[in-house]
Amino acid sequence: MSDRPLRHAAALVLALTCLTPCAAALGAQTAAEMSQRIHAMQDSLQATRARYDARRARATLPLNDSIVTDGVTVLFHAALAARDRAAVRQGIADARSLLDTRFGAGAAKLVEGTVWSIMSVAQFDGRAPTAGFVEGRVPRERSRVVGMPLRAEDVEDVVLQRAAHRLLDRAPVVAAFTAGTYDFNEQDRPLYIAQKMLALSASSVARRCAAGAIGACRTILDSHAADQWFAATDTVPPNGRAIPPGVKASVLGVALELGGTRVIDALARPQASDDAVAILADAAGVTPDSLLHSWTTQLQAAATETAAPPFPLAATAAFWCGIFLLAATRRRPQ
Amino acid sequence: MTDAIRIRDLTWRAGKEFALRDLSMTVPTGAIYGFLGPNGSGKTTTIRLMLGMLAPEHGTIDVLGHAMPKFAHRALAKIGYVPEVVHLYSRLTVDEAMRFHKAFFATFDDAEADRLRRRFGLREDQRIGALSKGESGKLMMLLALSQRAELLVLDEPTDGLDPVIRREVLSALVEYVDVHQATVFISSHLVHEQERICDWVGVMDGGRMVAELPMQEFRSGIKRLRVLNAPPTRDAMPFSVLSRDEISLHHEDWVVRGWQPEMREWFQRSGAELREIQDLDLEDSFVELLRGARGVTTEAR
Amino acid sequence: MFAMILRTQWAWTRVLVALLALIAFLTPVFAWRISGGNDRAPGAMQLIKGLVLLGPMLGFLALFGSFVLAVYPWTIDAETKHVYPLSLPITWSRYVGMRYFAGALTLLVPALALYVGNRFAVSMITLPPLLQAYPGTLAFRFLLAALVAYSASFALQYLAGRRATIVALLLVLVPTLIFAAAELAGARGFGDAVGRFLFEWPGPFSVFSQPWVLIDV
Repeated sequence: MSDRPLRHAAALVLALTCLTPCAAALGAQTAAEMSQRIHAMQDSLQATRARYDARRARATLPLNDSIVTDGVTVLFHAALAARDRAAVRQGIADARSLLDTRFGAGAAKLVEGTVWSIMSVAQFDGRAPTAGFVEGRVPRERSRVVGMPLRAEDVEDVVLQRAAHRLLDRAPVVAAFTAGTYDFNEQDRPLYIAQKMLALSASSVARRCAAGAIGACRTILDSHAADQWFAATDTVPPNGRAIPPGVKASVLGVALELGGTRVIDALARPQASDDAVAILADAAGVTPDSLLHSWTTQLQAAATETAAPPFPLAATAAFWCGIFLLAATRRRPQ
Repeated sequence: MTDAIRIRDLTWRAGKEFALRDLSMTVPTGAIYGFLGPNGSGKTTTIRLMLGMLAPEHGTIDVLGHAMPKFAHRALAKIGYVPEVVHLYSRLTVDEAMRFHKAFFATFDDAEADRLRRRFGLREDQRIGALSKGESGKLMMLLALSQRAELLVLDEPTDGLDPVIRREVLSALVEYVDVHQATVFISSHLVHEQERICDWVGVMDGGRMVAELPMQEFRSGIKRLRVLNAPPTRDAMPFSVLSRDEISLHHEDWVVRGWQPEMREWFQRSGAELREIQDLDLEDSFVELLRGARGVTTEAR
Repeated sequence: MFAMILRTQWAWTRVLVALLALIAFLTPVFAWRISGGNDRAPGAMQLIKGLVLLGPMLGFLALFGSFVLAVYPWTIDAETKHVYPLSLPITWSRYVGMRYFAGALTLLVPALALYVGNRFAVSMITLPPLLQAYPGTLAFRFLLAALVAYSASFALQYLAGRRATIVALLLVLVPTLIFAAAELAGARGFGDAVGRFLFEWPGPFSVFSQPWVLIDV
């Protein structure tokens, strides 16, 4: 059962308590007293919700099936078809394969040993069949929702996202540096996007970094000075910061490319410094400037991909043109 | 001698009705074959099937030794086709049309094409869409003749043309046949025109072949007989009766096919009297053939 | 033979091709102008945002221009019920193939015009540092999209004949209705799957969903 009614009720109550005429109904004599009563009501509502969540967490949804695949346990709290199971197996295998291939054997340990729960959830409109896919033994409503029937690529995406979070959880400084945004799957060309954001930035420092100036990159990536280098000469954009977290996350990506599983292990060790770039460089076994040089080189290389003629696309287009032509010759006019 | 065109048991229909049913036809090589029939009898459909533009439901078609429509592209290299309606690209000029045609027919004779163009009075820069009906007809004939085709298939080539142009076109056709000994298949409802040039006749009606015979036989073998006291039965007649009309109580007019003078004896033996033998012109012969095929008789008033 | 087919194709469609080429040439300049681009030295973000309309404009041009170029020659043959090509000593499939390639070749003209237009548009502005122009890549993408649209339209016209318009309408309406019904019934997966098949690589129309950029990093 959804806790929507509870939230709506809470919102309504809060709204009503803001109205002065209701103050009398609350029996409050002063504004301070009214404020205290409102806070007390909020606390009461939150306590009720916490008890509700706890009850839900302890609730035993029927466990239909479970599988262990590639060191990962998946609990099915919903009636899923054989093809859904196959999608789960394939997705987890793909996630492991991607980690091993890109970062070296052993990177898949970020996935191994995890336990996942899958359950049926209803979307807010109650129509589309979906599944909740969450790490842990206890099914929770706040799970990653994926479409039904399950697709291997969705499973892979969820597993890799959690793997990234798990990696970042080991190094809070790095997590803060990237604002928790790193994606092992990288389907949206993060290096290209990072370079584009730097190049289009209102900040001249960012633009110099995009051009390959290591010093400028050091400046914008400095955890302490992240929002301060605008002060002197640059125009501060309305949102207060020109460099999105994804740009910094791409530095983590380059460090992983350079160091592979060594980075994964190193981030788990206690960190003495609070300089994220230094931590990543040390974990990758290179100097910070070397890491930044590799980063800017890859950024510029990713940008020039746009210039490359799309030969795979051309081959695909030629194939389909051939199919259409063949179809056109099938019918003689009568 | 092989046949230029050989059709057996051809059946084709568009929709629910049969347009052609069990049609068989033979056009000898070197013949000028006149394909006669009223409008809507299926002549153009037969031609289109013959040229591989349509696929038959049943039956076989062989043109110049090639099975149609499977090997139509091979046969068409040796066929000059003049359709009933202008089929050329209206946006091309006369010269462009000649060059386009030449690109597809290896035997195309440039000199002959130019000679015919001048003879027909066509200008190179005339746009086909702007040509009159007669000029279009002449252009189509020009292209067909310039191809040096072994077989000419002409569908109403002079329909709608004035007598002068008609004579020009037919004269060029006859010259071509004299020089190249080509086979000609000419479809028309203009019977008198066919009589002058054709040596074979095929008559079609209602999707079926009514008669196929040499022109000489068509011309001389169909007679109208005035018969007195006609015998009630028609057993063992040496000729085929196309129609039988009662003129008065004892007199009947018979139109017969395959008449020979010695067949008078049959009337004598059967107790009837043959009063008169009338020659029919080609048009009347054609009409009587159709009447016979349709089973039309006239009762005496 | 092909030379003659090409000559007739050109004779029939040269006005359309010229119009398409003119529009393709002007589109990059027009896209920049209507986005308010008057500054000869625009900022990077202004430039990128200013050309964001360019992709959809070129996509529509490729789609509709190719459709017309595929359909129009067929209508000329259809005026005489295709009797002339059917009376030529070549197989129908060979004739259709020659007609197809003749039309496809004419698409090089607007693609080339777009390339020239791209270079002309880029020459009108001073590129900010770190941004580069890709006139050739964009023109090549346009050519690919035009060829795919041309091929699909060509196939539709030759398969459906005189009913092509009705079939085209059905091809648009029926999936739309199915998708709407699936959406209402909550079976979104079907519509998503079909959309992915058509517009994601290696689907037939994936070239339309690829980024169309003239200026980028």
